[in-house]
Amino acid sequence: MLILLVLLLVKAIRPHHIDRTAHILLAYMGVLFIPPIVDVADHTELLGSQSFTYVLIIVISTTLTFLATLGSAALVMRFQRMVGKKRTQP
Amino acid sequence: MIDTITVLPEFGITLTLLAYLVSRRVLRNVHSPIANPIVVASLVCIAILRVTGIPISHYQQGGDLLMMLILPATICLAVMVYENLDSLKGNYLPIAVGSTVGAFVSIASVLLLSKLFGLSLILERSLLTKSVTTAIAIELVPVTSADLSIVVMSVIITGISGTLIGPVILRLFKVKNPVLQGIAMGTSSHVIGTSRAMELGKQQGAASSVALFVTGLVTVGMLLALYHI
Repeated sequence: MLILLVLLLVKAIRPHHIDRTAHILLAYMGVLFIPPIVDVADHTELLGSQSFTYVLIIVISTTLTFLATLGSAALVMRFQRMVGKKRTQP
Repeated sequence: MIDTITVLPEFGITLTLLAYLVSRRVLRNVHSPIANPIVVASLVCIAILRVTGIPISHYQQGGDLLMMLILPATICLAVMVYENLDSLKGNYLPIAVGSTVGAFVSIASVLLLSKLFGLSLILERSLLTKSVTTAIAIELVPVTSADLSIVVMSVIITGISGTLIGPVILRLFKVKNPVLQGIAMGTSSHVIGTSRAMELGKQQGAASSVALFVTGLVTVGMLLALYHI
């Protein structure tokens, strides 16, 4: 991903060379995750007796991760705005 | 007779595409954050396979071909980032800080909750890479000494839960900033979250793509520091 981005930025690859294929893949990206999800449903026996705890930990941890990311990014944005305002004040 | 048809890769591909397109069409007018076409289409596929008794191994003949496209599609996220560079300008610091904090919370919360709930060591270690893309998570298996199948399962379940929980939290806290929405989706639920973020908008998709990249880097660094050094 990083290499492709760099190649686009230095114009080694022109966007119109890959635009069509990239947009088709991105537009239907969701479809690509259906087979692994179906596969997961077939392998729940791997978790044994701890399947409920395992899923509960994922749900709690994902919620905490989401909230921590959101909170810290929002704080940095607020800080950037404050610094920006101070700089523009006479 | 049916077996000879279902064992063909075309069966799995057609079933997946039909389930997704129908789910997307049906859910278009349902304005609920949990109305996720990926999840609904997956449930439809599972239900059809269970009811008809078609083995999942038959379905996966085509499913594996679709899964092969996940990596190229992830790389193509660079195109989305490139096209939205202007909207990301000035937002790189929030993305870097948000994703770093998110990656830290993801690993720390797994370690703490696993101890709290008495989760087995193999499950605990298989959860450590849950917030990164499958490709990175698989590469980290030798580092964490986790179980490969459970690692993949953890990444998928995290992606689903993030796409279901994320929009609810965004609505609850009335988060309207598209960059903030993208950062949170990409950090907490990697590529699956990013595919959902792209449905919300291009800015969300671009911010989410950069966030999942940063989260991957930070997670690799943290796990190497924890288990390798």
